[in-house]
Amino acid sequence: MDIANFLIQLLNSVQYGLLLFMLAAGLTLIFGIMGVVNLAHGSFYMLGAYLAWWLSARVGSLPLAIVLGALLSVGLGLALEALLFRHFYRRDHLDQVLLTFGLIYVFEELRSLLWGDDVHGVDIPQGLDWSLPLTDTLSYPAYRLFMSGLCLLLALGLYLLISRTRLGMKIRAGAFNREMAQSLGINIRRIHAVVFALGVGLAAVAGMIAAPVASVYPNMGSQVLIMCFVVVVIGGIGSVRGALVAALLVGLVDTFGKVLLPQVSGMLVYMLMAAVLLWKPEGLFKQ
Amino acid sequence: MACFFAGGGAAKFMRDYAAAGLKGKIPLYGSGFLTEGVIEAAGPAAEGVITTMHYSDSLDTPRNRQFRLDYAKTFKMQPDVYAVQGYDTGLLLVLGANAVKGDLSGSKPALYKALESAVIDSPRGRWTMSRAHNPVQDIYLRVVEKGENKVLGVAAKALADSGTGCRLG
Repeated sequence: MDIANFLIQLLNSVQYGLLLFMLAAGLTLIFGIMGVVNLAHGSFYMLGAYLAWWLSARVGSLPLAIVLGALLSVGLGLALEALLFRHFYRRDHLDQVLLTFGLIYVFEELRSLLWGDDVHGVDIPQGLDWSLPLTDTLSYPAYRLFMSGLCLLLALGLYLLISRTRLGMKIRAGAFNREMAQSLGINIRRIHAVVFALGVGLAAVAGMIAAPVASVYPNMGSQVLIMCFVVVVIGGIGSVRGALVAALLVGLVDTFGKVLLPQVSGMLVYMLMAAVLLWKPEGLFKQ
Repeated sequence: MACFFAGGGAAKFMRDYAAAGLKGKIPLYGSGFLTEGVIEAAGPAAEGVITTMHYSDSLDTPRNRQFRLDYAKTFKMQPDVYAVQGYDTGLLLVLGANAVKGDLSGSKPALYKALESAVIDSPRGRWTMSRAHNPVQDIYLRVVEKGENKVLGVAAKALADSGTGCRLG
């Protein structure tokens, strides 16, 4: 493998890993803080992609569509939390799985009713629609570099939020000991709503950013959901730092696996997960 | 470079191909499903992609023009190969049902005989059944030009599959 090819695969791995991180961070927060298994997380990713397509056609610019879509998704997250998820925090995990699995079907049908079943594309914004030439035949799309950069920024923002702000402190306290945090006056209900909305927002924004490169099609959430769960399991449930490390690891293994060992590439990520779990059953990082 | 994709993957592949800078340099060939129903989604990345398939939107025959007009009037949408395949299936079923006078649960051999000897006047061209019960049809060579699959010519005339491993009849 020559240097240009290696660089392309490396950039692809990082971009894929960071996008997975955005999804996995939301999932691991929702599970770590509220103890809810959210199978519908992929549906929020799909919602983001469809919103990106639908809004950018209406307002004419993808960045504006992303901002509007993010606000809409956070609003939807708050509504879902208040109406549905809030009542499932204390329930058995199986009940949560049944609820969120049903939600996947509901969201797919809603998507079909609202936007139809066709495949759609979202155009890359004008300023980013160029490719960086690497050799005389190969070049790397600038938009993918932008995606990685944006995901890194969001990752940094999430880190700062959780470790340096009062809100983050309350979130961590609520995760550590819910009753004690409540008795100290922290409004746990509001914290849960904020964390849930944040998770939904991250998933939707991931879908929106990915829409120009992944295209917008029915059932796009399920494929990414499985990888997302693998990342959360490898990284350790509830650990955002673990999600980042695991996502990059999965990105590298998956991308280079497909290039170097195409016959077994489908298995490699799961073999990685099995290996990590054999070594550390709780995942790489604690909460 | 030849490939096979359909649906979401097709649009994504064509976009990635163009973004990797390969579009003008290495020609892209594929089965027709690469460009069916996804040209709008793939955008300018689909221009110039060469495919082969048993149908093309721009097939310039009276039968196809009539079909496309009727379809657009009824459904307010343009038909694609999936619509044509559904339509042909309907034609075949009607033909079979007429042969057994509507009694589909009754005498099966008569139904099968009717279906096997069917000549379907389809928007894709006239086709008959092969021994393996697949259509014997023309395969067209197409290229994407200005958002449409333009027919360049016939890639294979009256192509009948060999039915390898098929144990019918």
